[in-house]
Amino acid sequence: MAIPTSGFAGRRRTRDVNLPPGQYATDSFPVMSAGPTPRVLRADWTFQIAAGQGRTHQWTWEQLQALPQEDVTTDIHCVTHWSKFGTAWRGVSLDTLFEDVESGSDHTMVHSYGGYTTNIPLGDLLDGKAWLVHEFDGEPLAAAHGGPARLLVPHLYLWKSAKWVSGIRLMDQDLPGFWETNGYAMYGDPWREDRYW
Amino acid sequence: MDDQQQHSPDQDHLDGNALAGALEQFVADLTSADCTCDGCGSSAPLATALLYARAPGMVLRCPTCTAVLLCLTDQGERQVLTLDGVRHLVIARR
Repeated sequence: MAIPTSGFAGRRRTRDVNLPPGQYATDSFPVMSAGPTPRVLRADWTFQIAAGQGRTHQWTWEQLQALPQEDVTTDIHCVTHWSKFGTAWRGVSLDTLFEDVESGSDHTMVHSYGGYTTNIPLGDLLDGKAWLVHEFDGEPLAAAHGGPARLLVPHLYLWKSAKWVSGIRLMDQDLPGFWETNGYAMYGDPWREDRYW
Repeated sequence: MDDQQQHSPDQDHLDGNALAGALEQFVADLTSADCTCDGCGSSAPLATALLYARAPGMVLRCPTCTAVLLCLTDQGERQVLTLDGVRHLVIARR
């Protein structure tokens, strides 16, 4: 009787541990898009956090680059069932961007160039859980993948990691963004397979 | 009159089942329907709109202003159709 090698079984177990339910692993990086790709020049790019009552914090591209940069290696999980392990990004932690933002609000709406929106609880953007990234695999982030800059919130399904991000608006209540209005879950935890309403 | 009374149903209505026959026209092939965009007001057959299908759902956009007309999401056991960007759908009687 043939005995399976422990090495093969061991690799499979390791890989499965990193794969949320209902997902398959891929080495490619599929491009998903719900509309035309916005072409935003870095010279024109700004990022805003609107904290309510007229309190707005804004950064230009140069100001973003002058902030402390972090290298992040993480797995990403798309709600269309693919996952990609060990993706390498560079950008600014949301903790840095929210450092001087004062607000009693617990919810946020993320806005993108082109009109896309997605809602994320403020707590899921802080404490080392989210970044504004502008490099992938050591290269400037391509427009197809959200460049000049996108949000990276890897513990949630990838539709929350808004491409072409332009700002974040704080909200007192949790309101749905684009996919959340169109059939997808308000929170989107891949480990609980929180895909749909 | 309070708000509750203003919005109470009266006896002058049928229930939605009575629409089934009248809506039959819209079942066969909706892509031939003329769609008016709620954003820019332009009209065109759904078949000429811009479909973005490499996404978590199918997103149909206005061919004039690219605003989202409708979105069709497959939840496995059911499909969700949202028509937030559609002002009118007009279909010729067969």
